[in-house]
Amino acid sequence: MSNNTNQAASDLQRNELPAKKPKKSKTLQQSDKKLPFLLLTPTFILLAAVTIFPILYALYVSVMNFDTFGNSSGFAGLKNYMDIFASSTFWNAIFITLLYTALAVSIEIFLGFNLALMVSKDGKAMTYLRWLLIIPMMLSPLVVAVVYLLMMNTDMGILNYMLQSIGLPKINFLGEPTTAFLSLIFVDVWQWMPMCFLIILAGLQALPRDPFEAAEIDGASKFQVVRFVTLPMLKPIIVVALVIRTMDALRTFDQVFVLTQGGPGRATETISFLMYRASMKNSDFGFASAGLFIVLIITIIISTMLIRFMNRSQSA
Amino acid sequence: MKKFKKWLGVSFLSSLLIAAGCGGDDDSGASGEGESGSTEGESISVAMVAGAESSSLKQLVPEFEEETGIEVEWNEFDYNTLYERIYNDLRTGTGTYDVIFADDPWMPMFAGGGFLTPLDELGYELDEDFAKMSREVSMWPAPSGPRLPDSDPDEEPRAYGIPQVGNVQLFFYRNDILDEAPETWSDLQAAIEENQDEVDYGFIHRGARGNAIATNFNAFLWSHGADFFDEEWNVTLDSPEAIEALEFYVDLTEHAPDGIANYNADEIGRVMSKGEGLASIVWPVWGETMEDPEKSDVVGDIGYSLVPRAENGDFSPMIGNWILGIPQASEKKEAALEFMTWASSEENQKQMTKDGGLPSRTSVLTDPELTEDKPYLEAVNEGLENANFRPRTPLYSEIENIYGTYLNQALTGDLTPEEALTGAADEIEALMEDNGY
Repeated sequence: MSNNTNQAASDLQRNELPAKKPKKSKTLQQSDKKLPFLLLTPTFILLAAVTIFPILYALYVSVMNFDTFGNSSGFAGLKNYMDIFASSTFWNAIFITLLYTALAVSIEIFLGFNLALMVSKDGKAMTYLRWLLIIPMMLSPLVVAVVYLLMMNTDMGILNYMLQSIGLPKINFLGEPTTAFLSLIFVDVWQWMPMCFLIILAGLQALPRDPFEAAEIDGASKFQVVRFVTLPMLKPIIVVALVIRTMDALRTFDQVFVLTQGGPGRATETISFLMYRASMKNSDFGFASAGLFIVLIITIIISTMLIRFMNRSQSA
Repeated sequence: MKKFKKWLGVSFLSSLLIAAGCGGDDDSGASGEGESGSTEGESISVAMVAGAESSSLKQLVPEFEEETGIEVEWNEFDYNTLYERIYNDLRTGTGTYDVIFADDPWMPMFAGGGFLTPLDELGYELDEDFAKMSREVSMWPAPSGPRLPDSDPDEEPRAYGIPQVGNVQLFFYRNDILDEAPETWSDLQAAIEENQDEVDYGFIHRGARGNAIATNFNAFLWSHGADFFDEEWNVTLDSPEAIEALEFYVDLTEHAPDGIANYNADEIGRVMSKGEGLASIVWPVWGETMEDPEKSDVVGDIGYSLVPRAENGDFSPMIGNWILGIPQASEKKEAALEFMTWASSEENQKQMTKDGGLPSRTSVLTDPELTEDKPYLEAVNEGLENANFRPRTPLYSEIENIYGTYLNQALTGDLTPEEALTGAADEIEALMEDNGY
């Protein structure tokens, strides 16, 4: 890398002298074209090292066979991919992950949007809420999950204690498939709804005032203002929150790892957790790489769709 | 998208590092043997598990350093991370650690994969004071049970590690409610029915998916005369005995807490130490918690005994020893062995036991000076004599995951015991066939 920087520096020096003469300005222009690339080289190298190369390597691993000790034992062709498509646990994990993402993200956006609308007019409430809501985001997901593990204990946890003290029945938060799945979503919403709230709030505050005044003069109801003025103008911002959260939720791991380990049964086994098990516990690196490649493709499809949707709404 | 790629990249960078070192273990191990004599002034790096299993040893390390002049770099990880660290280190042959602390089901992977140093190479032999089963789980190939496919059936078992923590599952029960420990499962059931009004819950299952429930159920499985495999690696989990064991296990949920399908060791520890449960199967280190007035409401009220058996079965609690071993790639094998022999010496194990550790030597387990203060030692000794180990194959982690998932589904009522075990047997059968068993 230092070679490149040296070269860039010497390029600079070489070109500086002639640059003083206006007649040779062509050389300057040429160096102008090269210089940005030279300056970007370190970044490219870094990107190649941490992104491009590993992805290519993963592709290589995904077509290799591994023995039970985790040693590579020859070329497998598409066997790992065939195994995955034939594996019911994989499809279950895909289903769980997509359902989880869809539910968690839509609840977060919905709540975040409504909360942002509520406080955007009230300066005081905004200050306090922002403080309060930023806390969950600052905590490590693992810590949050450990605390929820204690609180959600069916028999000794504080949540059931509170429910019972106001006369409600106990909930078996993590001990039944459906409730365990919903509990995970609850934790995710608790932690990440604030992010949607903050993004949307920032968007709301940046909106111009005129359209609202115009709508008011025209006699629009509050609901109509939100539906026909705020929402359309805020759409790009909401899509940004949507894209970020979707990509995050698709690779949910920490909460699953601490709270349920994918259980009960396979009710909360997300794709990240499944592949963690395949690689780190079962040493089946080929299977895990192939699986994550499929996930990469799914993520690319989903985010491209969302981004396209964003572009369309921006141009509209 | 970029974010995702980056994440993917990082996660694969680790697998890249693993694989990159695959070819590199040929030259390892040579340098350690050439040097002879003094190990003084050397520094060894040890990888230990965080928690009660190693904290009592940690306290004594300064003494070792002073005595021998060997410096010990102590690394501590939680259970899952420890496995990943050791496994990556072993496979890449980097020799980061000179001493590793391995749970006994890891031995088929570590020793069977040729990643550990056979101790006879260094002139060490396990003495008979170590409990017999503890010695067996430290050896490879396993002295009993089926051997891996393509392996030499006449290969002599060699010691690849020194058992340090003589963990074996114990049966905890309230001795202020029950006069004596139930000997059979039906005794336990009768005791639960009889004492319904005395205590909130009967038997507390460690029912969380995967390792937790698999660990908990194994004693039921074995004591009913069932097992995972026969001598040819044919899956026998769907045998009538196994189904009977699971039916009984699920029946016990009637008097168990509601949330057991997500219960792990911590939850059981809490229920038992608050005095809400009549009985449970627990690792011995929890005995320290039960006898600690600050953490427990039942000091002196817990009895420790053998895990019960079926009417016509044998006692078969599950063993889970912690074993000290030396990676092939270590360059300080002499110093590492010195550390291990010191750690597992009678004198050291005695001191550790006083500090709340668990020994693997029979002489320490039966030391009258210790058993007075530590009521669980006797039960551990008895447990080790009757213990069973988990199938000796590097695939066990995957087997356990399948088995532990189906068991968990039987516990929540999603599947009947028969459906669960048939499902598990089919899936494990496919896995074994896939891997040439």
